[in-house]
Amino acid sequence: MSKKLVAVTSCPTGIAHTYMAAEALQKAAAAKQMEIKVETRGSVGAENVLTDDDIRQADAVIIAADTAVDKSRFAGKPLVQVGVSEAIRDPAGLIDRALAARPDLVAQVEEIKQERKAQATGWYKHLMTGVSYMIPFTVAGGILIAISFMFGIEAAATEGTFAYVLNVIGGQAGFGFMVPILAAFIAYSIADRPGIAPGMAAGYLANSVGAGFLGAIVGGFLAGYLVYYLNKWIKLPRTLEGMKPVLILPLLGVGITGLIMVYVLNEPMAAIMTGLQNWLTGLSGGSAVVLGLILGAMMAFDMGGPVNKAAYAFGTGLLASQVYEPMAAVMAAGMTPPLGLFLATLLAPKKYTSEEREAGKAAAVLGISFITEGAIPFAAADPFRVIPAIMVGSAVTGALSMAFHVKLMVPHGGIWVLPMGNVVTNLGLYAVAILVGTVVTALVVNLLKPNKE
Amino acid sequence: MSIRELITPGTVTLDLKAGSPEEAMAELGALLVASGAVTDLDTYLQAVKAREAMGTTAVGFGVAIPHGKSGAVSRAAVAFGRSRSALNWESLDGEPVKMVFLIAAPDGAHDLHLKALSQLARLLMHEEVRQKLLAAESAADVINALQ
Repeated sequence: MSKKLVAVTSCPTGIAHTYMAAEALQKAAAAKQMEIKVETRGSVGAENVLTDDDIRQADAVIIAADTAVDKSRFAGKPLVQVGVSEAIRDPAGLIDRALAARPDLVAQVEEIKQERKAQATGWYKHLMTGVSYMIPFTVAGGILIAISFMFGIEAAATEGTFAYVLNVIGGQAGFGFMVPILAAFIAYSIADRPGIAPGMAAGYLANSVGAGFLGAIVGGFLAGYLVYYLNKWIKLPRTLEGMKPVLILPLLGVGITGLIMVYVLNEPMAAIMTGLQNWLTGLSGGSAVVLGLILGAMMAFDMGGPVNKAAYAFGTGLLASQVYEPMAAVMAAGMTPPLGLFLATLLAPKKYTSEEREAGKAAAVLGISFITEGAIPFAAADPFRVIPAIMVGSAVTGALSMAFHVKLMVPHGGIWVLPMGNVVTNLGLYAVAILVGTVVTALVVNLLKPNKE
Repeated sequence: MSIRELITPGTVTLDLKAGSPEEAMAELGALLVASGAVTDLDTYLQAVKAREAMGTTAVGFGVAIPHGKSGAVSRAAVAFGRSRSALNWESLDGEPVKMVFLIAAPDGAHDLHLKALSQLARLLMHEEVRQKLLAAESAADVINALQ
């Protein structure tokens, strides 16, 4: 069977090189009696666009572009990426290199994550910026508090003891900053540097009345947009322009945001947060399972995309309000997609290409590290079978984790944080939840997938 | 639309005088001004040079295709110049440049024009087209080679 290739060409003005490179690749492929389909991304727009089928059937991918090209749709494929000139200069050599390339799943997953980050826009980008700055405080705080419990669950209650000190550091210096930092960096993402002070002030005020991460999100967006427009609208004479960043924007930004928080938003946000907290801590039996099912399915649905991140932000944000069960469900459910696919390649190797079996091993490592994106290469190759399967597995894991009332105090780290002190309660049952979801994922996906001929 | 509408006998010269890439751009640019496709030579050449600075357009095989998209272009057009001596142009394959296509595209160019330009770019990758261009004895031969 002759080899099939797909390629994307693109150049800065999109008038000439894009098409010369495409023609060169087509000529070189014809000379080698191979099939190639080249997507040209020029000034006319994308032409001859590669379909999912094209990509699935391709033996290798060539990207010859001087502009940014989204690589996530090629995940798991052997791929070479070069400047557009390279395809004009040596198209035959490029084809050989592409066919010889080995997919490097770990590197590709890292790239997909970066690309997704770069492509995020609007409120989603602002929220994710805030969450990413908040995470280090959450990680440090959660682990330090957990260690303080190792001295006995009451040890931290006695003032002056080492356990008490650790608990203060973790609880106040770590967790205590989660809400202010989340708000500060949502505002930073919107308004750049001038957003930080009003955002942090809004988060501090939200925290002081127990409005938690919901208060921080509302306050962060309020502060960010307020300062963004103040910055745009306030025009000062040139001689006074220097006063704007050091006096005008901080004063008006913090002042107005603070007044709105205190007089308008704090009370309702605190009420909502308290209600949510009470509901979550009071959850038992059926409703806990339902929440676990939903969070779990969300984690698997887009494997690190906006839906997954929404569930993740929910779990992480609740840590600031000492609600730990959803975090456990979210992390467990985020681990099973790659783990389940790894298991699936072991159970039914005939249903997978040799590349997928290799990718399975890498997916196992990504899975235990809670990098859900490790499932993407499988999902990209066969979305309508893989995504439902991993959603089922993750939903089962999320539900079990909730049903077992497992609490997790850190927002990341996969299995690597679990042995640390008391970051997780009911470790045994937590492992059961993850294993069951992994097995369910593997069985469902193998049930849906046909054998490779 | 066909390539014939982009390139006219008036924008073809088989005796390019230029000794350098810059001179070639200016010389062919003047032909585009004379044909009415380019309204302001300096503004247009700035766009061409800015594109050239991003990476050479001397794509090898003795061909260079400097190009620019600019508000100083009133309609898409192509000028062709063949040099008797070879131009010292930093090219992808290190070969000197004998044939230069100077491409002008207006801002917000119509898709049809851009499509025709992309066809021209594809044609130049073919050995037989380049041979015909090298052997051309008149502007009409050049235009016929690009059909």
